[in-house]
Amino acid sequence: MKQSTDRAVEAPIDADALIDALSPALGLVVDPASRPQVKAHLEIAARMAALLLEHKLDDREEPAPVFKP
Amino acid sequence: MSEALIDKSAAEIADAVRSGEAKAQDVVEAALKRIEERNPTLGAFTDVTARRARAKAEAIDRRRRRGDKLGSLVGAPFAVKNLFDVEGVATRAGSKINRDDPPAAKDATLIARLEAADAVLVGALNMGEYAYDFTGENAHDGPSRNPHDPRHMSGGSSGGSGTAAASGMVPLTLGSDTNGSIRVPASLCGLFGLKPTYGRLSRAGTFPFVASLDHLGPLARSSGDLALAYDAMIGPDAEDPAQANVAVAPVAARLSDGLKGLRIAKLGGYFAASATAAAFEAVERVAEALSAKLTLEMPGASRARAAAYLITMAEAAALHLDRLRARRLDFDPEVRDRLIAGALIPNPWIAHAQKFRRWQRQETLKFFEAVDVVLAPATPCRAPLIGQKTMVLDGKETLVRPNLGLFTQPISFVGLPVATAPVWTKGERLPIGVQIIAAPWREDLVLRVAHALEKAGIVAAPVAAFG
Repeated sequence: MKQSTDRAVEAPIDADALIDALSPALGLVVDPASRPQVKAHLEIAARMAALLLEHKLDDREEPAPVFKP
Repeated sequence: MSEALIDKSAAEIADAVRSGEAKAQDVVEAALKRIEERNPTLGAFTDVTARRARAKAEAIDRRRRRGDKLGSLVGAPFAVKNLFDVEGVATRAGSKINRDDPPAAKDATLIARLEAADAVLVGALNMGEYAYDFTGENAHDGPSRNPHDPRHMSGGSSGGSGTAAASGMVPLTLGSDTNGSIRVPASLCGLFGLKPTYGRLSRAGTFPFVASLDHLGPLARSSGDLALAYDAMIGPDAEDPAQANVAVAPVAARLSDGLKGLRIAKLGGYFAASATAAAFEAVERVAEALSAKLTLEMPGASRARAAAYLITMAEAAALHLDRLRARRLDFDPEVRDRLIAGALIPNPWIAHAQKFRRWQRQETLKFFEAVDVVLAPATPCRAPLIGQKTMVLDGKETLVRPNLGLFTQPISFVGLPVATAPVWTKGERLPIGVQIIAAPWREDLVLRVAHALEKAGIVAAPVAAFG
């Protein structure tokens, strides 16, 4: 199957809401000039996440990094 | 003689110094002269460690006169991406902010190891800010330019590492590669590059980007130099907790073992879409030379890229959170806005990505039961123009900055060893690279294949004509 760089996976995300809710909680300032870029990056991330989350994981799947005490 | 010698490989320089045909001091002077002549145009170096280099070269010449044993890279000048600690130099990692840090107290492990092999450090190299970059552009130090056509990008984020080696300032450089930052500049600048297996080389004494995905490795104008440098740098280092506990396996002695018995295939699917014709033609040319007729699909490639993309955003944002709060105006805006977005993404995406990485690892290990080496484009296109923001792939306008690494990112996601080899087309001024990929810990295979292609004249990394 042919796959393009950013497959048209629908990614419902309200980037403005995320920015408004989380940036003050994290102590981050998003300047008006930066907001369109931050939004665009969040929307790309949401498309990437939608593609990734299509792959269902077993509940018992382990994450990749293994902490060795 | 030294002027011509600086165009040679590190191995040839070492032979000349060892035999007494050349003095290490003359080689270093030739390198410093080259840097002085070419760097103002090309923007490769941010720090030149001339005094230290001259002292090291003088010591080498003295030891040679005494008949002391000399290292495998004796007298070969090298330089490192400026995220490596260099004693006495602030580790700027491409940023404005970190140059306020105190100078590094000691060299990074890999620098110490190359110098233990008698290579000579001559300086630190330009890079994309905090390594979050595939272009080689830098808002504070200016771009590192492509020596084959300075209007074009070097590729990044190890941009200066590409520019310095391709322009003949030094035969050998070190870079870092989280999602493609060695392989992209190697492709765009026409160099051999090696991204070893994740956990193979010590990262001690370097400024991080994404702990889950960061690798270090060499760029050079020959596969032999990659092998010599790699052999000098391998081995356990108690100072790097991320290093894997695997047997030390030198490669240089087996570099000429040839292709016999190797099962080599092209990667299809994800790796056969979304690129310019130049990228696919380069893979075809290499595949034909290797008689690689089979095309295989690597499972999960597009999701591997997505997962790497998200882990990168999240870990990089966490690393830089305090700086984003306190000094947001001192960042390159292009980097800052990606980092801020990374701080805001939902955590379940990252947990899923790290679990997917385990799944991808298992599938990839199974995949390599049927094949030894696979081939893929290194970049979707030849070097874009400096400042170019978009490119057309598959008839679709696509952002340059994140997408130059679209073929490298799924491979490093599971830490596979990769050599990049440069392909040239008659009538084209700029090269393009092919990734030669193997199963974890098989650096020997990717370098053997790169070497066979180099000997057959299919790939090459000439010094760029200057001026």
